[in-house]
Amino acid sequence: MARLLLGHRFAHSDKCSAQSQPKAAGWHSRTHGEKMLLLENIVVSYDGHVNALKGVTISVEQGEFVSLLGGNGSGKSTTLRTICGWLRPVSGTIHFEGHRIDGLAAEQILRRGIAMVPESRRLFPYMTVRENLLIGAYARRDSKTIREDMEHLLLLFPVLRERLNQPALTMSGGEQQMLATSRALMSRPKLLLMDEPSMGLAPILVKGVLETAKQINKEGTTILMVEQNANAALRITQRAYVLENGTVTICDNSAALLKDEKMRAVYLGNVKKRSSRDAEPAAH
Amino acid sequence: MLSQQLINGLTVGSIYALIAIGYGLAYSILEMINFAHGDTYMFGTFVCLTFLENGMNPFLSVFLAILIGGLLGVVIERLAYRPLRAASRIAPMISAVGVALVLRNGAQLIWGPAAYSFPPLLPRVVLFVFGLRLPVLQLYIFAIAAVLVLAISVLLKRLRLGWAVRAVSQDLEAARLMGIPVDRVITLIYALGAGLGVAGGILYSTYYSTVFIGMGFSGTMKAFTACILGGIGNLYGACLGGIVLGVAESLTAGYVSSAYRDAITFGLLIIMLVFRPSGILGRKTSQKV
Repeated sequence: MARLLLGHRFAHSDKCSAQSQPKAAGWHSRTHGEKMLLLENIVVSYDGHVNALKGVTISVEQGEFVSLLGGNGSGKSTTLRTICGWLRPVSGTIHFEGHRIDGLAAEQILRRGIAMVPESRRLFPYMTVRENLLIGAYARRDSKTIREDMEHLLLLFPVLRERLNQPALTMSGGEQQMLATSRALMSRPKLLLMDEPSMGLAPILVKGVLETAKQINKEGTTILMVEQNANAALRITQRAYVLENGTVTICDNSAALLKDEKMRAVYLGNVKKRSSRDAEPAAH
Repeated sequence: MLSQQLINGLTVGSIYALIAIGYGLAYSILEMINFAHGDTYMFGTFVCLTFLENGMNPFLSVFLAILIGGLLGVVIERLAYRPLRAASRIAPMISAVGVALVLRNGAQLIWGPAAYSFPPLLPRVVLFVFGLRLPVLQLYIFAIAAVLVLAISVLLKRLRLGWAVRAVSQDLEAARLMGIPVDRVITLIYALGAGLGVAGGILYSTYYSTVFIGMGFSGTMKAFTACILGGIGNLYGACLGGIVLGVAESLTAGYVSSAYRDAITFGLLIIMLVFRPSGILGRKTSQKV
């Protein structure tokens, strides 16, 4: 995996535009060349009446590890589902590496280099672990490097090697998460979308799953991750967006957000003085 | 007597298995009961008869009829099922009932309501092996059905396309995320199912030497029962269900009365639906999340 060895610059200083320039379409269009992924004023509706996303603007640079935080129903997962092509935005644009991808089918978006680890993993339950891994590389034709990548992932997740010939549904939640992540990596994505990788896992496994994500990012894959566990997510990512009710309300470096008073009060759980009850319920 | 009935049962069962596979594949993908499945292969079998009566080479007739059946499956999927994919699950089923009626009445318009005799495509010699009466016709039918079932199972296991079919049938949306062209795969499954159905229909007509409009509807019910018996969404389940159904019917016809043959089909269907809806080889309905 030669590409994984390349170094990447991280853009810690780049503040979120939604905060500083809420309707900065002009500013963004001048920077298409630099952003790997750029969502501009994305509006998504499930039923045609209520908007789940009300103009979300988010950008991710090459090599970054960015998290999307927020409470239930804030639109985090909807954002990922829109990027990967499961949902189509009502309005707004998505650019990936300078090309528009909103409106493309999910199978075409994968071929552009975006892979998704969906919520609750969505493995093919009656296919074996090996088959699940190989079908992750369905869009690729280079069978020799596919084997190499599989070998690389089996080194990263040794437990998968023991279970290669078992149907995916016989595995534990943690193992399934590893398989889902590996399956997505088998397509050699440039950008990996992870939707709640820690959901439904025992607390002892959560740390491992997030550490693995960090490791994957270090090897060169850009990651945009939705996570309920804000505290853990901020410790491993470089930047974070907070969504509330379908809009981006906060965006900053993860390290800064960990210390932020409002963040601590609303999303990080360890409240010292909670002044009002009108804040969004903490995400657990 | 018993061995004779078992041989009959296995023959009919292998035909049912062939018909049930296509039906079960379509069901496992969209959870849609394709009520037009039987009428599609009835139509294909009539097409085969027309070719044969016009003096076409038997192999070519069968091949073309299967091909036309497959195309018919594609057209039906495009026109009647795909536009309804986003609708509730009941809508495509009603659409399928509509397609079945169109095919049934269309066939009646073209060929008339009569039952026709079907020319013998396979030799009707009878062998005696260790005192056992072995009609060669039945051996042929069983062998052809077995080869086709085996071919499909190898295709699903080994070919890239087969993997795509299995992935789509297990999780359609996740399959999209793997870059699998889901719509094309679904079209292919309907083509494959209809083609296999026509193959089954031709074997059925060869066995019973007859082809008639009503064989479509009864075929749909047999395929449905076979799938429920064996376990829906499972290729081997559909095959096993077909064999079990065939044997049960033959034993009933042999020892009770052939008038009760369909009663046994629907009796088995009801018993399975009530006591073991997931079938003999059925998957557990609950999934680990």
